[in-house]
Amino acid sequence: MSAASIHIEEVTSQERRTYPVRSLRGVYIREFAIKCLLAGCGFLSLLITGSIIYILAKETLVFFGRSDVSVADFFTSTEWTPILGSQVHYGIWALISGTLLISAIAMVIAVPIGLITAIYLSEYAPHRVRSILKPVLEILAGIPTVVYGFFALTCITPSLKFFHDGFNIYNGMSAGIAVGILCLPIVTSLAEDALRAVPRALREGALGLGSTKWDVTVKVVVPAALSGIISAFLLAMSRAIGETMIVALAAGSQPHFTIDPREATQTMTGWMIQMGSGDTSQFDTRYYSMYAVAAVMFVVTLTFTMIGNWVRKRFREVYE
Amino acid sequence: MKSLRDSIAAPKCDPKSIRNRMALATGLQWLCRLTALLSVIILLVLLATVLSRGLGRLSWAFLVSNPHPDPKLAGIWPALMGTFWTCMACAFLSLPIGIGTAIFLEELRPRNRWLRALHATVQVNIANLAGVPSVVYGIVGMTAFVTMFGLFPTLDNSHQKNHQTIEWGVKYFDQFLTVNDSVLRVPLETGDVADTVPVDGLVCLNSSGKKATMRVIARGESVSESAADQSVAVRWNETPGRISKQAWYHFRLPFGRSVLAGSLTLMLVILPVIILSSQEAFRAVPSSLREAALGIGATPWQVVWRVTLPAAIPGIMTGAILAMSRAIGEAAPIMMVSGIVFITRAPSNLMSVFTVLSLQIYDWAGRHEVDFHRASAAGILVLLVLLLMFNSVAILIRQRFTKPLN
Repeated sequence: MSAASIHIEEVTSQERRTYPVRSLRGVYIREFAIKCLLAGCGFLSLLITGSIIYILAKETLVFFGRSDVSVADFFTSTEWTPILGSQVHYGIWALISGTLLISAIAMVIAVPIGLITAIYLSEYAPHRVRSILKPVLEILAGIPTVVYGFFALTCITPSLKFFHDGFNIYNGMSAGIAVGILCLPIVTSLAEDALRAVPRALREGALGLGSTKWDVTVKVVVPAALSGIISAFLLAMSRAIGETMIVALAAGSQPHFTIDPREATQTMTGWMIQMGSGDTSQFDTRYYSMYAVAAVMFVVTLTFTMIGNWVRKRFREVYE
Repeated sequence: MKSLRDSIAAPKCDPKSIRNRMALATGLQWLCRLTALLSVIILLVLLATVLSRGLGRLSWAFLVSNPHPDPKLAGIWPALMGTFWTCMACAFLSLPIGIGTAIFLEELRPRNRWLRALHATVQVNIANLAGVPSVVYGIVGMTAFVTMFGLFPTLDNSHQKNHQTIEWGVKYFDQFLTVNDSVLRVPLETGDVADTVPVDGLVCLNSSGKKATMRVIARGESVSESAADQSVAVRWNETPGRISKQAWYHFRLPFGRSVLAGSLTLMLVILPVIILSSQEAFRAVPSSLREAALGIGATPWQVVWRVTLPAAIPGIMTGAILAMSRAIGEAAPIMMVSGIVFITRAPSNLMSVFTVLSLQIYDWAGRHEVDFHRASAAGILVLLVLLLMFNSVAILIRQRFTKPLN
């Protein structure tokens, strides 16, 4: 009997050696720690947003607290003359008009060309053309903005001056065209995605009713993809408003309330980069004005981006 | 009253109208074709502009020499190294955080109500962060990293005695000129003590780093002729210059206009891009793989670490490289952080002042001399070649390592 029991014990101890049963506590702790770490990574992005808002709000309040600044003047005046000693005005509309002028020119260029290119890519282009055109657009999208600024200054402006003498060396038109070129790939790729999402059956139905290919595109596909196209426009607009290096190089640095594209102008981003580039003292009112302008621009671009993303999600037509 | 038959008019089978419609369609198709061609033309004109101005200026000397007031002698070495340093630091900072956030958003589906709220908020937040202009990130980076909310003394007022910059890995010296114009360096405890007054017998280091004893020449005293005596002799009214020697691990708070502040700011700019593209990569991994791993008893993290992450790595790397190529080209946020500076030395540690290639291009492009424009164009060519290299690596990874998973 004792021999048998010894034998059994031996078997069980061998089994324990070959199949060790490990406690899962270590695994649970590790899993929990990793989850916390990953949630921390996610939380960091909220922290970034929070600190953007905190920094902009805090310094903007400092700006409005200065004796030579009034809130009403900031939001209603059209004169931005902080450099002139005697008559200091901080009127944001002078900068907003520059921004709007340049963004409008950019949109006038980017939206039609981008949309038509997207239509061509999704409806007409044979595979071979597509395989050339898509990389070209990707390259255009990847070119740094400072290169477009250089292009505006050394190629677009001289061309404009060639056609019309009235253009200043720094002018809104040239910067607007360059920003338009910058936005072109954005509009094209977003609009093309929207057009491609329209199901084939819709096109085939329209063709079966005797439409020409153009009728199908304009009367069926584009209306069906309208939400995507609108969102492409809004996101490109937000990009155009936030564009900095092109306007800093090509648009000049004179904040005017003007809609004349031949004159030098200054945008919100242009002012920020002028203040941030290092010459202004950190205790100057002009330095704090940078934060107020940044806050206005943050709100504007955020609104455009949010509406753009929302339109794309909300009005996406789901077929099938 | 119109009858039904009237309102459904017979389709116009007029051959002329059909021909017109077909002609219109063909014409508009040509319009489409020409408009699409426009983007190719724009790219060609842009490249022609840059090449025609920059190609003649591009040389090895241009790559390895320093910026210079004379545009014909100016080079981009410090800017090139600055780009290299900031982008490397930026990649090391942003990749783990970006991929971690993507894993949090795609792979961990929390059941806890609060965590789910966090999940949804983070997702919306990142889509919005991606739309914030980079210059705003520049301002945030300047406030948060360069001056650190003013919690620490800024570098401008760090000479005030009651403040002290917190720093490691740096040694300060007061440097005296001796009678025969060699130097003597007096080591200091900190960087913000008052200037050393020259006294006899002060222990200092000579230019080759050996210990020497200072000897002060009083007013009217004559100097001995021997070179050994002259090299430790300092005139009584000599004022020292403050110099510092930084080790490679030099670190200080606040960061100041340094490489680290620049790369942290760039991190803010490209983090949303990395997160969104990594999410795409994770989404492309078929869920059957995850389910299989879970089915044989893997924990959620084991699924991520052993199954989904390896499968998503090519996509993540492609996105990361594209994000880095965006970081290379960004000028606005770097400009807010570093300012336009004339630097003749490549960064040697994370606290060095720096400039980057795109900023150097901006600086030269904004000047009036045509020669500076040429230098700028040559800089652009270097930048474009760098970007091309990055993108080809991305394409290579995409083609080489993407295997069908379905």
